[in-house]
Amino acid sequence: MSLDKNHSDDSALQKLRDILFKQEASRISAIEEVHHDPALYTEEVAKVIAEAIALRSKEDKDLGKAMRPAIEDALNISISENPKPLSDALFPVMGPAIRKAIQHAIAGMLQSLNKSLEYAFSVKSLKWRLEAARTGKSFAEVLLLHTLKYRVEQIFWIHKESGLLLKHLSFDPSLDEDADVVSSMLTAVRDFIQDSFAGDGEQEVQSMRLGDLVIFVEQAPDSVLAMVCRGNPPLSLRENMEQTLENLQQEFHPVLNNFEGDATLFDSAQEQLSSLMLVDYVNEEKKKSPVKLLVGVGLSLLILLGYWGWGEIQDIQQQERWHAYVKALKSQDGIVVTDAKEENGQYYISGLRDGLSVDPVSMLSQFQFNKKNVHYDFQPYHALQADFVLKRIRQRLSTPETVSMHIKDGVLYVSGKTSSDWIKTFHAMRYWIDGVHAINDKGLHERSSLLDRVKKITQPPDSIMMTMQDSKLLISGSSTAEWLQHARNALQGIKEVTAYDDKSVEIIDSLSAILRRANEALNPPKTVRLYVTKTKRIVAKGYASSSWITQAKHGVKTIAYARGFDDKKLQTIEQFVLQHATKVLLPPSSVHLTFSKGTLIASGQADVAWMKMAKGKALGIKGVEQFDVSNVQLSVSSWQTLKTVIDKTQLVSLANSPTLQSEDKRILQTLASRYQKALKLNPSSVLAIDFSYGSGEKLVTQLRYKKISQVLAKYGLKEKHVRLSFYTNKQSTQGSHMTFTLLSDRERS
Amino acid sequence: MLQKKICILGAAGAGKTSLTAQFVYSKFSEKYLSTMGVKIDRKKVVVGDTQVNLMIWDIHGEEKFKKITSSYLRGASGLVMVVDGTRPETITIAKEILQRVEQDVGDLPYVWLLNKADLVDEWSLSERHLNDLKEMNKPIYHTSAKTGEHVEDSFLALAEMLLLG
Repeated sequence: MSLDKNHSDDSALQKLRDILFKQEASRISAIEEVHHDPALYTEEVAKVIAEAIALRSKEDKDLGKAMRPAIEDALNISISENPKPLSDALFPVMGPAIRKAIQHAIAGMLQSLNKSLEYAFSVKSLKWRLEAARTGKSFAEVLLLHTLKYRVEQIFWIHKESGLLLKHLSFDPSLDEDADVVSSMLTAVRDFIQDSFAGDGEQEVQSMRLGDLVIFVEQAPDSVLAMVCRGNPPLSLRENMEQTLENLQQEFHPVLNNFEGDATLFDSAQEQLSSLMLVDYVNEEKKKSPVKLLVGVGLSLLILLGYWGWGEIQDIQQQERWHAYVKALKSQDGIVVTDAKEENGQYYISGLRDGLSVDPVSMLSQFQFNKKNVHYDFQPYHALQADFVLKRIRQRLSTPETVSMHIKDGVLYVSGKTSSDWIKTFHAMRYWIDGVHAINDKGLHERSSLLDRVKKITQPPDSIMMTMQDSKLLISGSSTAEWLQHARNALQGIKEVTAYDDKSVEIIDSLSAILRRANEALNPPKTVRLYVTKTKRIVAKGYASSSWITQAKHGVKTIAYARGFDDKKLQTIEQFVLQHATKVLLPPSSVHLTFSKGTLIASGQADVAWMKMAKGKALGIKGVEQFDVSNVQLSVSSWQTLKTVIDKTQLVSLANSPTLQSEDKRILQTLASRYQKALKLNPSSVLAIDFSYGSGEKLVTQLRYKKISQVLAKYGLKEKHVRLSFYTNKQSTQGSHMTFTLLSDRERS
Repeated sequence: MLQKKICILGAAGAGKTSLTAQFVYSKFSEKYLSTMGVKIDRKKVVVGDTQVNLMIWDIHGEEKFKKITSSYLRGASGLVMVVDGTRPETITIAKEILQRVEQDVGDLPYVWLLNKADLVDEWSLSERHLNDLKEMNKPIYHTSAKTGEHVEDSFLALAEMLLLG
């Protein structure tokens, strides 16, 4: 009872819960569903993740710290797998940096050149040249040593954000004391100049000058290097400064990023910075006026060195021109100079050269060099600068003017209108284009030329070539008669085509073309002649080997436009020889002729006469090499015997008596039987019956003959088998006398 | 030795430069303030057993047409907010500056200096003004650049805040 009560209480409570919290429960389950489904949960997080990151980044730097390992890993993976996307992203930053470096390099070169020119005509130059020869240093090096006068007095390495001093080096230790204040003030001045003059741009203060004091300022992401120099420092010093700062930035990046004011953490930078503390003492010698210098130099040269000295100067100039030439070559796109040297007045240059780059020989005259003295060893290569890639494509594909191309971010953009043929060629070649990683040809469209239009309308088969000669269409190749007719009709409707020439088109389904192809394909022997019917059926006539006939039956199926093969008039060699042999030898029906492999075979029964004739003629028949009569049963004796017997048979009748006696009938029966046998041996056998009767017995003889005929017919003799002859016996007037003779056909004729 | 950059800020004429001059070694003359809007001085103090080199950026007083250059505030570790006790409006200006600093470089530790304590009779700060400042829960010093009263204390207090948090 209490159990039931509890149960009913629970159920009531559940109902109450459902009433009160039904909506909340469904919301909770919806939230749980989102929470437990990774896809839905990802969607929900995606909605707020950007704001969450922004908010947390504002609060503190923990997010950055937490994400740093993941971002570093991601960058490492990205670079190791494909450095291009990252290098593309950095390109806008790298570009200005590279430009800046190049500007410095060029400025350095100009400065060096100015110095060289200035000293090229001085007495010192000779002295320094001797020194260069003595010490083994290059002349340029000696020149540099003697002309540059400067001293690095102080170096400030400054935390960029706070202006706090990280490291300070000075020529004069008394200057150390205020370095921290100067560092901050330098930062303030730098900020002031940038804020006042550069606005929001990214330009930075690079140097400040006061009389012969110059302050070079180099800036890295987290720190600034300021160098105070007195005098005229070479620009190479500036390059060293840049390099040093880059190294420091790289080495101390994490410490700089979390700098809390403890400069001792940067003590190890001392050595690197010290390398910049260069001093070159001022040469105290008074500078001569240019006029005096020139006069002095001229006189000195004339007196002391004369012609030799002049030669030396020329050498120097030539060296400088050579260096200038090599430098000019190096600056050319598509040329990579790996080595350039001079030996005994001959100049050698080696490296790589793209065939599309400027011809190095063409630049020689500009630098006053004779091409006989300059020797090149350039290995071919493909430069991948955009200009070269484009030039190469244009050259290879004979790109028409109407197609424009450019490369941006490694993608080749092709646009314009041109013929479908060119577009097809371009598409076929697109995978062979190097120097770009993708091709965008969305702007490339087919231009409908007159020829394209003609092709579109006439739909020529692949075997047809069409070209336009002004407004005349030249058609060549091969086609069906049907297509050519269709094309001729279609051309009437294209007004721009004023004329066409299709004389050279071969009609591939004409009878003669089919016959030509049949002869080519079947290669019939001389004994066979082929011809083609109007229904394009190939007929073979003559005789040939069985193997050729079999091949021909198959081969004819491969002949285009041929519709069947008729070999009814075609015999095998065996059939042909046999037919010919039968005509020549006329074998009796008891003889059967066959022919196989050059041998004519006779079998059955034959008489001696036929055998004699056959043997004489058989080997004269073309194709018969042997005549085999081993299976012939000679029937000579049988027929002759019958003839002998038959020829001896006689019937004698009484006068005026047409009636045949029983003896007569038996004789006739035997006679008929013998004749039948003879007929089998020789189908041309004829029975000659000669009646000799008395002058008064004619009528009786005729009656008697009828009776005899009836008896003979009864035993199978027909009229054609019998030859009758009647003779009147003038010496007798009664009775009749019959003689029988067996004749062969030839005897009969 | 640690180095810390601090900025001294307040309305024009609040006495920032005089306060700094009282407290620090000055290498640069005041003319920088009028030309560049900033003058930098240094004061070495000791907090516990740590020596701290305070680089004090005395930034020109805020005027209507001459706002503080925000780049001067970059990298600062703390602020000294100076108010002229005789001019209540300098509290409002100081608060505005503070707000802008927070926007530009974030929250920084700071101390309030109610300057010109030697002229306390002429002060016109109401209880409400003082309560407003107290509610910000930052140290408040009554200083006099003239007598040097609490000047050193206030800078030391800021240095302690920077080091000890």
